[in-house]
Amino acid sequence: MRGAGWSVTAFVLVVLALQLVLPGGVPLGIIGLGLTIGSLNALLAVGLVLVYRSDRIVNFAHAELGAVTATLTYKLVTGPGLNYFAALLISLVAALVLGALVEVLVIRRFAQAPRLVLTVATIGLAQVLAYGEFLISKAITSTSSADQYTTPVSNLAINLPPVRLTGDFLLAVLLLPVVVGALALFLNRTSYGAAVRASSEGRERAAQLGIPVKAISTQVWMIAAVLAMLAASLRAPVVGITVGTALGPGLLLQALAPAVVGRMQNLPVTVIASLLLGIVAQAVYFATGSAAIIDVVALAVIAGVLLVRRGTTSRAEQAVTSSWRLAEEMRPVPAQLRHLREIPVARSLALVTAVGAVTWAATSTSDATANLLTLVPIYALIGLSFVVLTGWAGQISLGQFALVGVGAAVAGKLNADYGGDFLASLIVGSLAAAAVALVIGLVSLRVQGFFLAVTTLAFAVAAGSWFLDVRRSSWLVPVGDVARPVLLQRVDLENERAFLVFCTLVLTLAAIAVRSLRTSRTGRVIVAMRDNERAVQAYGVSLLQTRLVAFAVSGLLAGLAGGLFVHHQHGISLTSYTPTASLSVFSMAVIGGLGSVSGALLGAGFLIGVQYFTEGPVRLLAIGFGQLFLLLFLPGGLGALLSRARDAALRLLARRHGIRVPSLLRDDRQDTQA
Amino acid sequence: MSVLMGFLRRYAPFLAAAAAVLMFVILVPSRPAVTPDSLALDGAQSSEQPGASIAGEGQAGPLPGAAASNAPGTVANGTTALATRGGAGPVPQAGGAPPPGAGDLPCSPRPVLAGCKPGWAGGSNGGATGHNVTADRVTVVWYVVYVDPALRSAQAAAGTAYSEEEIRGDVQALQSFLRKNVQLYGRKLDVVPYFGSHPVSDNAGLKAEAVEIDQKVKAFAVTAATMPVALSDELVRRKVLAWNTFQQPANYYASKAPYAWSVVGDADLLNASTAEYASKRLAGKKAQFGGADVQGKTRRFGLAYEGVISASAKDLIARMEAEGTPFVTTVEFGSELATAEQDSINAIAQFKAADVTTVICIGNVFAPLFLTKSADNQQYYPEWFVNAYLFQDAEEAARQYTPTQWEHAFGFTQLALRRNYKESRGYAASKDGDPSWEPTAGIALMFTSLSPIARGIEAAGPALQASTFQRGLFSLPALSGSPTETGSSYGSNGPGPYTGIDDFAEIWWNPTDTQTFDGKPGSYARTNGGRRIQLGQWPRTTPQVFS
Repeated sequence: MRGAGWSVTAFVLVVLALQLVLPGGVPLGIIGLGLTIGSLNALLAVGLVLVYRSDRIVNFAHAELGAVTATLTYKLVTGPGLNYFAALLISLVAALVLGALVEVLVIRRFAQAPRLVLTVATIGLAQVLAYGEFLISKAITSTSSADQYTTPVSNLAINLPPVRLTGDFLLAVLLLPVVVGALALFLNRTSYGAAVRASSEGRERAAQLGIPVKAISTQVWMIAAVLAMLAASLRAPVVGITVGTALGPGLLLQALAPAVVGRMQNLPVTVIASLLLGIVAQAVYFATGSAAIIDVVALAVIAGVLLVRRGTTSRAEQAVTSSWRLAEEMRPVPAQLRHLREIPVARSLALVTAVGAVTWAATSTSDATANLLTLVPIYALIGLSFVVLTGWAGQISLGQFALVGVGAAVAGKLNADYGGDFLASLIVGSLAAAAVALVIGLVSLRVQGFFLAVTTLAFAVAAGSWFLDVRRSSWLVPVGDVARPVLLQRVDLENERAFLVFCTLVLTLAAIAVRSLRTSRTGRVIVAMRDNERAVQAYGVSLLQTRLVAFAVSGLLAGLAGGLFVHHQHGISLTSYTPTASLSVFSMAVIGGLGSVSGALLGAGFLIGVQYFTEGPVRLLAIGFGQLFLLLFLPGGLGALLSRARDAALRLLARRHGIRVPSLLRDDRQDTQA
Repeated sequence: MSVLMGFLRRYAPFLAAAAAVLMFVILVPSRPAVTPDSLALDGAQSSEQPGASIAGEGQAGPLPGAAASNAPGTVANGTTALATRGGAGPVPQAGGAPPPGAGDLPCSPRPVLAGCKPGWAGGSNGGATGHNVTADRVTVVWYVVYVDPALRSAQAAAGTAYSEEEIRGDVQALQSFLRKNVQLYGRKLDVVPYFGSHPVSDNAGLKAEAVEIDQKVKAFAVTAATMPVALSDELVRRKVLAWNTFQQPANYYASKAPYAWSVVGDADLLNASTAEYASKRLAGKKAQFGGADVQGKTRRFGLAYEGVISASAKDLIARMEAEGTPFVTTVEFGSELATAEQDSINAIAQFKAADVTTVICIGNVFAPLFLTKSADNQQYYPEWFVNAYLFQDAEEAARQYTPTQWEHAFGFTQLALRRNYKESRGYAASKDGDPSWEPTAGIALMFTSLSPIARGIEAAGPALQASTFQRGLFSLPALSGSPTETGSSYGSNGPGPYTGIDDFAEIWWNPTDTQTFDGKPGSYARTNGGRRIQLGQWPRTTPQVFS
């Protein structure tokens, strides 16, 4: 009862505030529309919370999970002309099956993998599911168009000016409490529910108590799939349905924001927050006529709530935070082997191969290929920024491409609009990105792991639609053409090959710097902080300073990549710095491996290779299924594969020379046992 | 002191590196090399100066959007004019002399293309006179935009998806036609299809394609059904002529002169026409073409626009205000499909709340899809004013919009009356080029896109380069429009110097008409038999639409 009282009070206060703040006030119909959109988002948000509690991940495939079955509903109604509720029932069964399949075939395979890896796997899964939508759409031919997709309740309506709330709107609003209530009853009053809750509190402990955690996890995914199906199926007649198009981060953020407000735990708070956010977003859009402002509102809500809430001190939450960390570092060559002649020879060989590859790329490829290959060192720089931030410091950023955008904007602005020096503009751009990263670093003092990831995603969404948009930020974003310079009055960087070599040189210098940083005291402290914050503090190290250094260095690298990217592209395009790009580079970093410089390079090579050097079905397979399979078999990323291959070679070398290397033998034993 | 020494000891390598970088930055000159000829190979303005006019060429035409000076019907058929000029023609604006060797021999008549084929005495054509031009070859690329499988499937359903073989066949046939009927001054014209492999949202991929088209294909000009902006930008940087970046603001083309061109009119022209039409024919009068809810109310205009084209939207808003018919509400929507769908409900609510009777929507082709669906849900039936933006005036798109809404759609188009493609000039040209090839329905658009480039190359004379191409194209007389042909002009003959079509036809949506170019129900009917109207000539009378 007290909760209901607070909720009503919150509603009244929000509506009153909107009426007072917004010019012209907010009509009742817009509040109704906000409630409807909020209800649809709440269904998504509840599913996100359930999956988070079960697997401790942001499920980027959640919306697509519903979209597949909603497409089935839509196609069954508009194709064979099935009754809406019958189609809904079939889709419900399909959702249950799909949820179970996803859990058994994908999620369960990642049970032991770091949460980062599973999160990236869901990005690949979303692509696969989008393709599934396309296949369903192709298999069942619609006889009527999308706008004729009505339900038995579409003709019922309440007129609440300026919005006519049809039965579909009302169904979404009315079904929400029923669904959430049923879910609450299930979780709180049934033994299955108790098992789900126990499992979400601690998987291993629940398993020790005899709870079948695997089966429970499957059930959670089935429930989540049904919630997603309901959200998407109810959404279709209200908002519409776009078949075969992955639902973007913008929409996901509208569901994530309330889930974050509910701390990914509290379902009633999540639902209330979703409804309130729906009202606020619709009211602000109604008053301003600008859709992009909704993204800024979402960022403000997420950042505001996370900053004012109490810090995460519980052991359970700390465990969650650490489960987001991933660091399979490439170890140095064991001291026992360093003196062997083969080691410097192998190193020289690797160096010659690398130089040879760059020389080949710079001399034998076409200009177009050289242009695309230049993206590899640029993206590898972004990968390096992840190595520092996530690999070493254990901090997650899903908005790294927005930092790249900041570097690009500042460097491009200086060059194009102020005639600034190229190298100086690169440095200033990097510093600007580092400054923004520092602000995010300050946020990270209160928010970590999953929550920091969501905050940075919100930053990426808002940056893409607002801060890096030249129409709104002409003071920051270059208007003119960003030309590449002639270095030393003879090296024309407009030549694609010259620019490729230049970017490779910059990457090499950055890689050397990053490697040096890792072996320095600062690097060791950053890694130590990741592993045990309290122990590091006990040695008198400032956590604030150390974390900020990690963010600043990461931002610096991302900004440097941005500076090069804006010159590569000769300007800033509206569609270049989207949150989707941030998710792509995040996937790239995880696929490459966050533990080493070579991982960053391999990840960049994979991303650019798949995106630009494959076509048609191969590209589709590589992006969706390929990503999933790669992560399944190489959770440490391609860098870990390289690391293992090197260790295998070192083992052979050790055996040949009859040298006993304990660390390598330990690996050997582990491999044999496995 | 010890603190300082400690600091230095700890950070000395870093400080040394920073000092080295600083010295490098100071000592190594690395400013972009802007020289007079860095971009303007042919004396054109650099694209680094947005908004710059073509004043450097001394050819600044009338401001885009200004009233056109050429009345329709001035040159019904350019044959005589071209025959006397021999194609290259004197260039009054530029003051250039006719190219050597051109214009001395009689002009031979030709089919389909306007004018006649100028004679040429032969001899040297100057060799490599321009970027990617050689003594014996000039290449024009037909760029085919990449479409993802979902959209391709939809295209296939609409009958507008063609295989690579079909496109190659069409291109070959038109190449044969153009080689035969266009004076190329000893060069061979290669028309090459280029199949894009990156979606229009992938700027990096498109720019790399531009590099390949320039460096590997060696294109002098590139055209497409619609060219992505990122591709066009990079082509222009590389001094390759980029055709058909649709409906950009006029200063986009002017700032990239003489490299950026378009067959259809620029956004300023469409906006000027919208403002003129609205102020003369609609403003201050009762809405009579909408549903019962707006019928009889004094017209109030609302604008829905996609965020990415807000520059054009701002221009339209300003022009409407200047004409005394301001929008009572303007609504921006995003480009992400899922959120744009969601936004459409609120957008319609804003129009309803503001008592908007007449909605103008500018943005992607999907926007009316969402807006009309939401309007239908909301039982709001305004007048939908079509102003030729981004294919909303094409039947293939309009048939997807909610019929109960679009039956209230009227306005203007730049397209000519669409006939069966077998009656088109493209089909005739293809058959002339290769009688054995049966072209696809896409041949009409391909020909419309290629023909101005071919005419420009011919009019440039032997010394082909971007500036002579511009001079040549500007020197050609305006082609007057007819119901089945658009009127078009370049240079000072029309409103937009770098865009072709400069007239309009009044249209309204007839959902039941099956007498269409493809035999499918639903088409845009035309008033006055499809009479073409120039900017400044919209009458003040009530539109005779839906009659």
